[in-house]
Amino acid sequence: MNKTETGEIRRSNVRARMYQPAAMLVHGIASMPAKNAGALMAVSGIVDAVPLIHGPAGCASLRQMNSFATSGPASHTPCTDLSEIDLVLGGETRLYRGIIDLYNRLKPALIVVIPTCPSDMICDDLAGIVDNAKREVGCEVIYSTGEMIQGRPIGYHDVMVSLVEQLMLPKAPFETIKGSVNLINFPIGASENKFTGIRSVLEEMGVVINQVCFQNTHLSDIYGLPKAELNIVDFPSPWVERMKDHFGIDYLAALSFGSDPDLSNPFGIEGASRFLLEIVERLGLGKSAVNLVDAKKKEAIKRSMELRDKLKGVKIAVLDGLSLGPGVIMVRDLGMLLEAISYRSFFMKSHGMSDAAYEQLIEMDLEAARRYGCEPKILREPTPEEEIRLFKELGVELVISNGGIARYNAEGIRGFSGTAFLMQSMVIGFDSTRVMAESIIDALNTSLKRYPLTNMIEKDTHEPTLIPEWKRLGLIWRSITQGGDGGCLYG
Amino acid sequence: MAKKVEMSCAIEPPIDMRLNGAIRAFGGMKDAMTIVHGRSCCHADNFLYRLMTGGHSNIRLTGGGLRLRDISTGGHHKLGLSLSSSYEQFKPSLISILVTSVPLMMGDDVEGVIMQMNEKIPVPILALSCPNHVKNASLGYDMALISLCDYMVDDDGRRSGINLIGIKSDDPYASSDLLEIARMLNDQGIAVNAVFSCDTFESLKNAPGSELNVVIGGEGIGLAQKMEELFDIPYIVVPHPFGMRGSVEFLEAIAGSLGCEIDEHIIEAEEDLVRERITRVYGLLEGIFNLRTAVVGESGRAFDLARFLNDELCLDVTLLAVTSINAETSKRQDEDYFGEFLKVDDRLYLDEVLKSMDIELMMGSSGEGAFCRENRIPLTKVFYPTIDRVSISDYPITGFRGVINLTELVLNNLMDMNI
Repeated sequence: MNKTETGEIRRSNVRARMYQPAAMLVHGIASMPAKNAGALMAVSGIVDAVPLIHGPAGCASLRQMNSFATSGPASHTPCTDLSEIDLVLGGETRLYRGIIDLYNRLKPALIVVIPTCPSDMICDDLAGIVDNAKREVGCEVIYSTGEMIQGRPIGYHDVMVSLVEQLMLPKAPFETIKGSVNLINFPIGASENKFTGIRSVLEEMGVVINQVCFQNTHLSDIYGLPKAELNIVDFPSPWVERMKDHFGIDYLAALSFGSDPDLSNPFGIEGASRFLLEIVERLGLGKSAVNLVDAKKKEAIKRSMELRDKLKGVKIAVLDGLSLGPGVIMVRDLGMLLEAISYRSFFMKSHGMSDAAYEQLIEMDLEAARRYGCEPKILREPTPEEEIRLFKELGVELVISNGGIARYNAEGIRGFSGTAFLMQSMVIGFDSTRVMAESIIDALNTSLKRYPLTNMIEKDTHEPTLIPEWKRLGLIWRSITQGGDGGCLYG
Repeated sequence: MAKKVEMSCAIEPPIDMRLNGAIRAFGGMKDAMTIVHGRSCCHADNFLYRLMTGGHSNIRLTGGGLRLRDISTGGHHKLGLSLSSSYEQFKPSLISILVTSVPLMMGDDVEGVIMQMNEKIPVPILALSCPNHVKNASLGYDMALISLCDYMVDDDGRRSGINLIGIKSDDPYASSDLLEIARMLNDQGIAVNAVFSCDTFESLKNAPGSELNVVIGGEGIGLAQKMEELFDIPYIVVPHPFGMRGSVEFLEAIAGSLGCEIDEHIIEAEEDLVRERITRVYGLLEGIFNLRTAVVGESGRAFDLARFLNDELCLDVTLLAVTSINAETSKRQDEDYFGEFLKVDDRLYLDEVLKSMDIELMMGSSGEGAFCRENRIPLTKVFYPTIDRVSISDYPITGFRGVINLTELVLNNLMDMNI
């Protein structure tokens, strides 16, 4: 990916970047995205599909804005508009007619029926109605099981599993294309496809790229998915498990939260090499493919040497740990010095993480840092003043943060937004270290913001990216969910 | 002329639910806390809209946190946690519980929880049923305001000043509009006491101390009627003060009800200012004469905006589509400053109607964004929900100053579209 391409991605994601800090409130801090938000995100990944929310108008009227896509409201979120009478007598007739009406109005290739709490509680027979209505329309119709499939985000996996079991499975068996893979990414618009960086290497190895999802994906592409020999996915997911169960298609997940931030990290030169070798092994590609990976790795190291020299020894501090972030790559591939890691557990614990699991994450971070000769100071729940004081004492030049960079700038320390980079620019590939290095150099050369307006705003003492009111809403939400059932917010 | 609506079993409803109306009413109260007692959808969606429309500070909305398993065991325990934690964190003056479909269908004993918590929480707690199938946000707004009557005090019976009813804190430009309305009234020597609902609970409780309730655009008329019944306070319904004419009529109606005259010198000074400003864009105003315009928004504001656009800005309001009706809607839907009238029950149908009309300008909300982008129609966002505009400056679109600002918004929007 060249600089122009990176710039284009950045420009197209400005809105997503703007909305992200506030949207986090709906992602576990002060409330939780609902099952329909996850379901609609899944449907939005298929260009010629439309959802049909089976429920009252109140379950659909606010649906144009989705907490997974705050910057780009959905075009259509139709519903069956169940009334009080329907909730007593059943909503099956409205669903049957709704499917036919929706087909006649929008002529989609696929209608995905999404149940709601009221329709679940009255036990409408979605499978039976969908089966009957399908005969009356010229498109595919499937239904989601709501929240029966465990996993985050709630609702997303139900739709994806329905695609496998209601669309693909009836058409089985499929003829496998030997040596082919699907490259499957979470369908969040703001997220760059994580596999664009390895596509050309795979093709050079002779691997057939069967489908790239979700990128202008149509229903016809979904039907093509079971022809691959291997699913390469960003995160492990129940629906790819089902593809394995039903069609024998194995999968390889690039990312998994909670594992070693170094050894399981597919980014950077080392990560790309490791990930590609795993693919080589899974597909049984042999020595020539291994040699190609090695050669590409050497080339990439050589290409990045000049940038590495510029960044080697630059002192950095990382906020909130190394998991999934770019911090490890900075140390491993670029030789930067990790001087401190600052942990604030509010967000993770709002997501149901236990104290023990959180401690384990810290241990894994330390182990990874030591592997590259770093012995970072660990700060637990610091006040902003304590944190800044230590960073200054240690001579930290760059803070890898998920927000609040202006606060460090005002103290003369530059910042790099780890989340934004992970979401929008970080792809798996040999070029990823170079792209990251250039972005870091940009960050180090960016003028300091000396008197940020945001520093005038009162923040929580321990969570410097939350205004006190947000923190209070977070505390209420946590007390409801934890007090109600002992921890995990999902399900 | 009213547009005939074809009903379908697959509709895309506008935001017009009782729950949303009640949230908007309570959301404007600076010291109240609202709990959406239900599952994540009801809470998270409304939270997100509140965040995007009402600003990032002063959000006092939380949920009941119901999960799937709570459907069999009941949500009363979590509601109790939500109440006690809400009180602990915010020390609100009032807590409202909006009970949604799931707890209503499973028969949660909300009243029982309130009785229990009344022993621990020293502020009023009220509950309203807001199941997801019950439409009409305007009615939800009204019900929420009426519920406040139980706490109103009318100690000495002395009356002065007015209350404003029908102001919604999350409408675009709402805080500036309120300042402008208060300024116009103040210039005429009319004091505003309570503002429903952009005020504190304490102030709203003392609303019976006013001599007149002013219902703007018909929103919250139920509260005015109830206060007349309980406290013998008369009310009037006035237009939303859009435009020169709308602003003057607004002041005349209030002054007339209070038995006083309006100061014409002040009105003339306001007119002079507007005249000077619009003269600077005279040529452009001539250029947009009879531009085919659609107005899509809530009834309480849409009629009066349409009248300004037609009568004063000289556009052709081809379609007036209201997304939520109130008691005034049926009286006004045959007025003559717009072409077609439509009550929007289905946005898909609205799109079909709009496509057939060859619209050149849309005055709407973010809800019209997708249609306008697709059809390259300039969209000026002046209605709820506007989730992709911020308004933190002093920039009213109502009142005398609003005439200048609205004109500027429309012209700039039209010019931006052609870049």
